[in-house]
Amino acid sequence: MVEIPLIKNRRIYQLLTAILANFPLYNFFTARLYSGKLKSIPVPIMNCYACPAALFSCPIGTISHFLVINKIPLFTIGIISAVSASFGRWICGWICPFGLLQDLLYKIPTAKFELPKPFIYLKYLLLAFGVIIFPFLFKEHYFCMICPTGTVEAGIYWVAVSGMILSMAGPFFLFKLALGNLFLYGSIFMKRPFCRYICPLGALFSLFNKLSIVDFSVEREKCIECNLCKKSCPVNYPIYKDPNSPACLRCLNCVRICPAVKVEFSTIKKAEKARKPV
Amino acid sequence: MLKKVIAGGVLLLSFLLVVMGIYRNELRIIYNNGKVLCLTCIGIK
Repeated sequence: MVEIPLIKNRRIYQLLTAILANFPLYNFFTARLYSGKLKSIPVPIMNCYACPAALFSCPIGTISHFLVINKIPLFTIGIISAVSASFGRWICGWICPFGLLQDLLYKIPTAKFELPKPFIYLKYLLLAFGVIIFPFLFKEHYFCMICPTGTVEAGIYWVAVSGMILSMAGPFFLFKLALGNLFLYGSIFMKRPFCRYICPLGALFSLFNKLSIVDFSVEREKCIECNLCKKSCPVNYPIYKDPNSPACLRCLNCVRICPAVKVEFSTIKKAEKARKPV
Repeated sequence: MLKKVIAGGVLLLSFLLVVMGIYRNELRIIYNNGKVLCLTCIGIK
């Protein structure tokens, strides 16, 4: 068994990554886009590279861009698959700044609700058509056109500070603004709507949850299906249904809260077995 | 066990993809794309 990380509050990790990924915050005051060498690295988090302080490139925008110019983004695919083959969707739970924003908004006390289950397949459709097929066929960044991350982190800011950009903003900007607001307000009423229903990066990561080196399991004899795991889960998933479900963000909330949920890592488990007296 | 082998294979493949990407000078393309303001992302174009 793996010990839960020393700093139990994953908000600290999420916050640190949000700061690190947007380190040149002074760009917000100078209204300049960071264009240093780190922009050549597509770090697998949803952090729009049009944000003035964004240090790294957006992997989804990068994949689309490569397909628009008829190239295969080997480097970006390599980074994404390396991250997800190791721990599955853990980036969504521990690292992604847009996930942090949604988590915080959900804390606002109000009535909460859920969308019907089939909506979770929307993110796979958006990944297939919005990020891969349509950009390749029609040479446009279709997912970026609707991405609320771009609106929230960059669009609103640039329109507010640049007269030139404001003069170019038309109905399309208003459409994006409405969509961005829908997700921001939606996050108050439901857990992580963007991650669960829209995020193509999360969709890519989720494909590896069942394959990743880290395994989750539930001891059936201990589980009483009290749904404590579901209440603590950032995506409202009852982990006993399928411990390695594509929905799971690997945040470890359920592991901490319930003694029936275990996280296993093959090599560590073997080492522990070897230490036990026969 | 098979799962771990597949995950290991994917990790190895990812490493190869990253190396091939660097070899094909993809970092330059990513940089050139990222250093300019994406108008689609902010909702202009």
